[in-house]
Amino acid sequence: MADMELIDAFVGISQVNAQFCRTLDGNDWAAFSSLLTEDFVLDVSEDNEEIATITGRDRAVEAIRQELDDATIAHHIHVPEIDLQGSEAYVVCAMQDEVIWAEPKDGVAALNGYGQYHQHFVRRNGQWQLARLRLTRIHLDKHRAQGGKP
Amino acid sequence: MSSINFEDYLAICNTKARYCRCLDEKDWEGYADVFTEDVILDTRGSGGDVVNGRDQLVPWVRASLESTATAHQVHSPEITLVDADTADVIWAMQDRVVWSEDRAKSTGFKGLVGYGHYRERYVRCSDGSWRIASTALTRLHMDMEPYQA
Repeated sequence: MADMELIDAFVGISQVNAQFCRTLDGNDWAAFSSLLTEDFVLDVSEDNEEIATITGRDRAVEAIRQELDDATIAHHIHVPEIDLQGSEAYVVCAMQDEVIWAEPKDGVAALNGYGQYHQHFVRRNGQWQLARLRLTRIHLDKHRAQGGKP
Repeated sequence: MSSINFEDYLAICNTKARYCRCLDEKDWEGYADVFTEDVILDTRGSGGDVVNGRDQLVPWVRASLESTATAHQVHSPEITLVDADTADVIWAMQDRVVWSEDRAKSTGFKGLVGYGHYRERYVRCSDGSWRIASTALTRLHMDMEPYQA
């Protein structure tokens, strides 16, 4: 039975992460929201000190939408470390993202980032949902804008 | 040997995920713990050498990467169970490596994006954990980034 619980958690969490990347990159904000708990906590303060930890799904999704809606983005999530504790799971996954800004930001046209997502998943009504996400970075390649505007 | 059960599959994946994270975060204690004491590391397929034993391996890797930014990724594994406590695993891998300014100046390269495979043997240890008993890295391609002063 332990095996079945693990399979359920592994498959459920892997699916949420796959949908997380696809709906985020496709700017499908309604589907993206459905992967998160209502009290979802987002912490990307290591990437951007100006963004404090955001509590609440609607506020977090709105902040992500404002930051990334105009950008071209591609997110990858790699093999997870899963610590399963009943209907909760603590997960660390390697991640990579590419971000091409619609307009250069501080002279930066695009980013290639490497890091870890530290995630807290909960299973509610049979569905695995993301309750907390914290991003830590290992390395960030910043591609300078060529020429740039005067 | 029959196919691997899921608990062992997941435990092996967790070990390799921890390998990547500890290496990239320079958590050398955590990194050491993913290997058996008598581990064999073979990086000849990636311009490296053969190193025997965990006590030699960790300082060797540490000396090579301590001042280097790295991000290692592994993709879907192929796992072959050899016996109940032994498994052979092949991982597709990708890494981003950015060397220190000093090293970049002396080698002429700032960093690389590399693609290759890890070919590894995992064993179940007496504490129940799966650890890496041998690992060989081979390369398909390395995109080298030239250094411009």
